[in-house]
Amino acid sequence: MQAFYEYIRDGRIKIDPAKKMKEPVTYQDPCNISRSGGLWEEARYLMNAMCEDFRDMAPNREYNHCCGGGGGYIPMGPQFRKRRMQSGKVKADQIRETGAKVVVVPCHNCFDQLRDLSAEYDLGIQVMHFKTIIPHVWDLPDHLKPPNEEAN
Amino acid sequence: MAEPAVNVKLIKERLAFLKGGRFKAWLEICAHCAYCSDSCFFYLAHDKDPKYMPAYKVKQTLDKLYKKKGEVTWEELEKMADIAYGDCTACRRCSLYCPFGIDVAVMIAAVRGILCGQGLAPKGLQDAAKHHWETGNQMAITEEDFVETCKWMEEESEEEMPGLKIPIEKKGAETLYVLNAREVKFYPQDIAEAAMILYAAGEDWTFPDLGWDMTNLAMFAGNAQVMAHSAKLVYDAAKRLEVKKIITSE
Amino acid sequence: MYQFVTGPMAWIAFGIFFLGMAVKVVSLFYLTREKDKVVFNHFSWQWSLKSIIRWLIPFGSRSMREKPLFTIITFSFHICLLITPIFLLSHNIILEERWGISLWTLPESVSDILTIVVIVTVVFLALRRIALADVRIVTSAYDYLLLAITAMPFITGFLAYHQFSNYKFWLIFHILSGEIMLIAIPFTRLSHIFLFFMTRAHIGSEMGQRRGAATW
Repeated sequence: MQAFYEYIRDGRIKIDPAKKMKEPVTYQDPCNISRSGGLWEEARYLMNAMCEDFRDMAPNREYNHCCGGGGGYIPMGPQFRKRRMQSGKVKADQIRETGAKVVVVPCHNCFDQLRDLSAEYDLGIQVMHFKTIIPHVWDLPDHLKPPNEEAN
Repeated sequence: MAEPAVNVKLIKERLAFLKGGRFKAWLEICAHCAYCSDSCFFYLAHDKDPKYMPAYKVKQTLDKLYKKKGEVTWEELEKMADIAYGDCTACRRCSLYCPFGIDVAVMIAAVRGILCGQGLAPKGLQDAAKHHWETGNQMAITEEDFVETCKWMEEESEEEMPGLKIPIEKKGAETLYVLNAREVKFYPQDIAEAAMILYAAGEDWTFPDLGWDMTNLAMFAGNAQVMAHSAKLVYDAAKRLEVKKIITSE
Repeated sequence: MYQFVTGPMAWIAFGIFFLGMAVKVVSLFYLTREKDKVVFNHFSWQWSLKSIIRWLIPFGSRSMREKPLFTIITFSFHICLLITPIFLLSHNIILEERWGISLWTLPESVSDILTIVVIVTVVFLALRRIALADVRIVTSAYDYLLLAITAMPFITGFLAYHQFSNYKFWLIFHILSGEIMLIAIPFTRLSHIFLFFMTRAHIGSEMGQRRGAATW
């Protein structure tokens, strides 16, 4: 994430403003990256660079709630699943309150947990990594574009 | 069925080893003031059921172990395992809420370490740790499968970005890229996306052929030996390939 | 009896308090150096001070703002608890008589009110332990004992000052309970009057210096 932030900040990757995401988007601060990693402003820089309608959850940044899938909770297996889903209610409510259609999250634990939560609480959200979005919104130099696009 | 015997000696050793200045001070001064309750999403999500408040979780686990000097029954240990693995994700939010700055997550991790020594870590985590120890990644993906997945993704993304390569074990590259084994197994597209971004940014990067799994489920299980091993694999890869920095996929 | 509690017993109490706390702080420091080296890897004066000061200001932290009533109560309790005995007129008269030194003193009517505040807030804290489920579950007899040890010097001091029935009895009881509290501090959770600064410095540095996360 630090790397993506630096790429975009330093112009190594350019964002095409016309391609920016239009729908409401929120960002999940993973515990390991925000509270324990100190990278919450970088995430917001990226979000604002990529999305037109970025809505923060409350509370956020280093005070954000854990998604409920951390600490190895997901791979612990099915005997913990019910409790994991119930505990995720806080996160589900937080997401619903933002009204976002997409949740961006850089952590794989959160990613899986949020997809499970979306199904469990019928949130109707799409969960995405930064790296999934960047290729949709960037402005590539010509030599990196696929051949058919160059032809146009 | 007879309950397995508790290895009290091992617990006592761990407890003595763990009792540094922090644990000593934390366990003594916790004022049971309950400022921490509202910080915990387990507590909030269970309609403020008091058994999920952080100080209580410590009281029922580490504090109890010290008070009983490690002489606990198997049943008590099982209860502790349910709390340490099932009622806390070690998110550390409560340590921001505590007037004394008591780091509950560190104590829960210590309890997990003790429980893991008694074979009480959840099976999923134990298996992952075993895989990491044996194969260098938590999902027991062979080097062959890893390389093949990378090749496949390289072919796919090359169609979109001419000249894109997914380098593996390239000595002297500037950057080492490591990821989560889940990406290789379930979301290979992630590899392609990362490769495209790294390529577009003009990064000189490489995967290692061993030590590409940055996850550390053994840490979550409480298995210190495998935890150190997992971290060392990535460290060794970075040294072996003489990279200047490591990018992780999170 | 009066001779004993104001003479040798007072020396013993203050001796145990100061010496006990010194030994405790120093030994914790060395134990941490030996076993928790990680504490020193990220130590920062700046983050430590910020973390301590924020938590000494009422409503200085997020959790304090989330529980405003409890915050007002604990701050009133702690402030009155510290100020009253140090700036009490009669305590300073004793100091003056014995050592010829004395501090600025509170008017007696004010210290009387502060004493009542301590007693009332202790009652509130005890009731809170009973009333709220999340506090009740972590509460044991020990918590009430410590509250009693802390409240007793104030209750007896109040009774002695107002000369309820047997003045001499309440006075001796007051001095004795104050000494019990001093002796208890190094050996119980009351040691947080010093350890607070150590643990806060640690978490402030651990979260702040290392990750830039503010612990307030």
